Amino acid sequence: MTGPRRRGTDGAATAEIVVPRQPPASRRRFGGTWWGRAWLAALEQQAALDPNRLPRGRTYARSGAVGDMLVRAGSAAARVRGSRPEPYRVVVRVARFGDEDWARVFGAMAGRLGHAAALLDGELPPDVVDDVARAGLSLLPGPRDITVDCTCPDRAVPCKHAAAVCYVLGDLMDTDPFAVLLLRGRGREDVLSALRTLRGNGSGPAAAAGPATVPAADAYARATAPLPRPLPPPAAPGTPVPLPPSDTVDVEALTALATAAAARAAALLG
Amino acid sequence: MGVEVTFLAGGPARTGRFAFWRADGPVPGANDEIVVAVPGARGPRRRRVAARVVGVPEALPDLLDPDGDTASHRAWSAAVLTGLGLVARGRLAPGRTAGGVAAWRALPEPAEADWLRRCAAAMPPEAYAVPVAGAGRILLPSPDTLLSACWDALADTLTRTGEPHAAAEYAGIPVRSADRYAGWLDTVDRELGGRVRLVVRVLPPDEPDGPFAAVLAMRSAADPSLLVELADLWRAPAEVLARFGGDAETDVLLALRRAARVWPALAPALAGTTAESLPLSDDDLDALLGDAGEALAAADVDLLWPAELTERGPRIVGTTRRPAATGPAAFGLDDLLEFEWQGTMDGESLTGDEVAALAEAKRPLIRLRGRWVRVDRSMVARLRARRHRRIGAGEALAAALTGVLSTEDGAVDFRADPVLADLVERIASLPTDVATPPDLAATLRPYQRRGLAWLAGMAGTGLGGCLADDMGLGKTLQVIALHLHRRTLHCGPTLVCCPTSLLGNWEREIQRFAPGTPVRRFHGTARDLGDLAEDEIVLATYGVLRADGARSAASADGSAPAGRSLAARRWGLMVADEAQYAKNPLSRTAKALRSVPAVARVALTGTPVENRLTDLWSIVDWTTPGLLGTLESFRHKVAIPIERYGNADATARLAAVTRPFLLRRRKTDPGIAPELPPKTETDQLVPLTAEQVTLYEAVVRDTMAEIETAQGIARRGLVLKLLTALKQICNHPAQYLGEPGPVAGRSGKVAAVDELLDVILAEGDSVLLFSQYVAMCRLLERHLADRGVPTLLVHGGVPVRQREERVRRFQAGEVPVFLLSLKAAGTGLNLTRASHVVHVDRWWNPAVEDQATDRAYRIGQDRAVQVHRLVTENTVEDRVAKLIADKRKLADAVVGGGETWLADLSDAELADLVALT
Repeated sequence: MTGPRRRGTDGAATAEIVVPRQPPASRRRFGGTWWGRAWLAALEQQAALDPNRLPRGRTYARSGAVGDMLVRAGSAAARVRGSRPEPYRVVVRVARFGDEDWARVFGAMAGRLGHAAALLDGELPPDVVDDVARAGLSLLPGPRDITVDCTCPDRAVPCKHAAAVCYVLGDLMDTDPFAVLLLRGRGREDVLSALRTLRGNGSGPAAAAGPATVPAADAYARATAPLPRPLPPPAAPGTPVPLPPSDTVDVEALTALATAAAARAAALLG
Repeated sequence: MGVEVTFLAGGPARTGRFAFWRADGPVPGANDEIVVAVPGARGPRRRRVAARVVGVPEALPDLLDPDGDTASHRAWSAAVLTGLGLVARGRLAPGRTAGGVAAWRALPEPAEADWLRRCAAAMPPEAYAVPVAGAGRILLPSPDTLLSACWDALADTLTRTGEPHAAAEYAGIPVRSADRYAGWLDTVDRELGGRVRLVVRVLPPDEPDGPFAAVLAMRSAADPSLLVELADLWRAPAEVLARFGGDAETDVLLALRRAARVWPALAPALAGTTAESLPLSDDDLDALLGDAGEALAAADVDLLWPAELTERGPRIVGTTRRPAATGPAAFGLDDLLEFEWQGTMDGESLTGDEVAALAEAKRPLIRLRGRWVRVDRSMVARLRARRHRRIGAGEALAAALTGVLSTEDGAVDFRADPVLADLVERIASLPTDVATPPDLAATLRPYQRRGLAWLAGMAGTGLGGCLADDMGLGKTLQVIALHLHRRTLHCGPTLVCCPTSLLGNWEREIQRFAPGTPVRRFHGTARDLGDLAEDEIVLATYGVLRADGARSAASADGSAPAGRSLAARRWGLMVADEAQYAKNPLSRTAKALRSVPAVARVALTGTPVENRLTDLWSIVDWTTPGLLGTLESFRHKVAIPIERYGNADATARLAAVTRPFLLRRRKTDPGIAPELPPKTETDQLVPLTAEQVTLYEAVVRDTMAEIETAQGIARRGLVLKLLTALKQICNHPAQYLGEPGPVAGRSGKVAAVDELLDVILAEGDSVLLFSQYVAMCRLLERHLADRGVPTLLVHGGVPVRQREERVRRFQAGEVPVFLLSLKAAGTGLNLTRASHVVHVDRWWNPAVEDQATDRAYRIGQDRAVQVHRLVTENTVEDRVAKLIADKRKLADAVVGGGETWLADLSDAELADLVALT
């Protein structure tokens, strides 16, 4: 499994995406989506002074020189193997939106249910970018939003190592448009949860409270209902829910584990 | 104050822990410090307290006690007890965390989900008092997320107690990625319905002319009764997601996008902040009732119509229209019936106004009789078209039997007119017994009497039928009884068509069971139908029928002598024996059969026709023309759906149509078996082929001349030589001539063996074939091998060990046909598997013959055995058989000495015995 993996779901501070090192693929192309191409266009503009680093960066990216990449709010970091034995450390930073900016972004995105649906479907429709632009913000980073940092001696911006990371980052954006939003500062769950709250229009109590937390003040203020009696246990351990068959998964072993767990639970209940 | 209990959710679920703490002091066994929110003068504040923080297994003993000191303890006890019950019922499944780690999860059903909500509402703040990380306002995890996490923790803990052998990701404690399960886990999610489905619910307007609306809703795939409108999801997401699972919102949004893609009318739902409902135009309704509805279903979107629409709306029934019943003769299979459509709703005919309202409806749904109904345009068109059409009586009869008429536009309900309904009623309640005709020289067994009653009833209605009893149950006898029964009704002569090999049999059986009934063979060049008696039975072969049909077709101008053509008169009863031989509907035989007019037609077959549907069609279409429709439509609507796809509806419809016309009893039927004698013996008369006749006559002529001039031992020798030669010729010319072949087409007996084996093997039975001659056995062995019939052969030259091996294989059912020669007939062969015995030639020694038969029929054998003795007609075999039969009546021992008694006959006696007549 070499696909990107999302870690941490609860907030901007911990939201991150890990892209494992990709194996060499000599014919790999970059910029499969319009927003991915927009990212690369920004990169090219930034590289106007040293354009010859970009083809080398592509070659690096294709040859698997970029190690595991960690994408967090506002940045992407990876080690890139260059000419020296010790890999260089590259950090690509993208200008983050402030909280007020995000409020405007969310406001623009929440206007259409289809925006969230498209993002979940792995698409970043131009409408989203347009709606956000109408709110005065550019969702897609421009050349000035990007800063790169590499431990190599090359003074070019970007150097070929940083360029390589940018290409890998573009790939990630192609498959997961939420990566764009993360680079701007908010993770997927943040975005979805914010949109959810806005959709609720504040008209319901649960919506105001958000999904997973309650303010301690409310918790201590609320009246509690009487505790329901525990549901009665089954007379005998039940058969586990049937699992779908598989050629690769040992379904029998899993079913046996569930069966044993049911027996244990029944024994605990006496 | 007592010890408070707080659950600390973890990822993966099994790393969740319980914290036992008290706000006012230390707690026994404290091993950690935690931060909790405690009430303060100006609102809650954080406080660091000592706590005993333990994993789920260690915490369980404390929590199994439901009567804790504190409300938080009692709440978590109740949660754990209910969660354990969930796991004990097997409601758990493998899953993965958001971070892709393998973890078990609990699968609450609606009852538990509901309980969880109530418990969450009852939880005191202490039960979830550990704040989530972060500065500023103190936020606590919501009780319902903690309850879910606790149940998942139970599932993820109780599964991981042993040493992991397989599926280590789900059996061991260490945290491991679920990556290698990823695709399968998606399937699990889909099947177990952690997933939700989008529902488009069509809402009728309050006013008849108002617009319809589509309300968007979501339903749990696992529990379809859990249905929530999307409006609720937008308003109170936490509550809804707690019931549906955290991914529900994602699933619904994706489903909505998918739905809008297949049906763009839904696109506006994605354009606003939220989507709750959409107005539906009349065109939208049309689309939802048609293509769009199918496309949405294919995209896993459920479409819910108002309940009243799923009830039966107006529908169309076909009916035949005729004057009131005028008696049994009013129905003829050749008739064409006036046919018309009627509209009904709830069992009442639609009025003209209602039909007009349906026809003028602008939208696909209108209000009729106080409820919304769907307008079926093609139905309305048919109701409005005043054109009458006609259908064949057979088709109408089939429709009346099934209640359904199949049309080009699909099946519609059918309402039988009174005459037709009366007919269906009559064949459904045929008498099960009729008086045995007094002139029948046999006693009918009970099932044969039932068969006669059925035949008489079906022939009486003129509808005909197919008697498909197993061989040996006496089909011939039942038909002879039918002829005698119908004679009293003055129905006219009976025509029996059969294969050449059975012609002699029929004649003998008629003479035996209906003595005095005129019978004639319509056979040979001098065949004639002149002076036909009213109660006569005419026997004709299929070959003659074909030739006759060809000739009358060739002379359609009527130049053929009417008295010589089978088709020139209408028969009172026509019988097709071994009707499966005419099964190819395009064959000349089938065509010739159809060309002969008859009041009633009865087909006889011993093969299980119901298993070969086009054979069944051929037979039924002859007995009851039109009943099964054209062969083409039968293939497409019945045979292919049943044979290729096992279509249960088509099977049921076919059974409903054919059941009244088909009577099949098996020897093994519980009602039949006890009625059967353990052993039945039949002589089957078979004709000689032209080659056999020529050889036979030449040998008789030459050898009789020699015998007349010989004396003593020489004469005896010549007589025995003659008899042997004739027996060999009767068996097969190749046997007499000492040729290896060819075998097929030269011997009446071989043809008869073929016909017998066809039926016997089709019934799944085993058979012994006996001959005195190893040479004949070998000819049969070769011939059957050519036809793909596997055989075993045992003769005197086969070593004991091989003989035993072959007997074993036969007894084991590996090979159904066993050939034996006389010399092999030593004792000790146990061949009880056979339920048929065929004597290819006669032993002329009843004792030997009985011994051979007894190989198959032994004490302990629970099946009836049928003995078929092949006898060439009008030959020395035939006459000796009669002699033996007469003698056997006196004493079996008279001819016990073998065949030598024949040598003592006089020349004249001998000449009579061997002459071909």
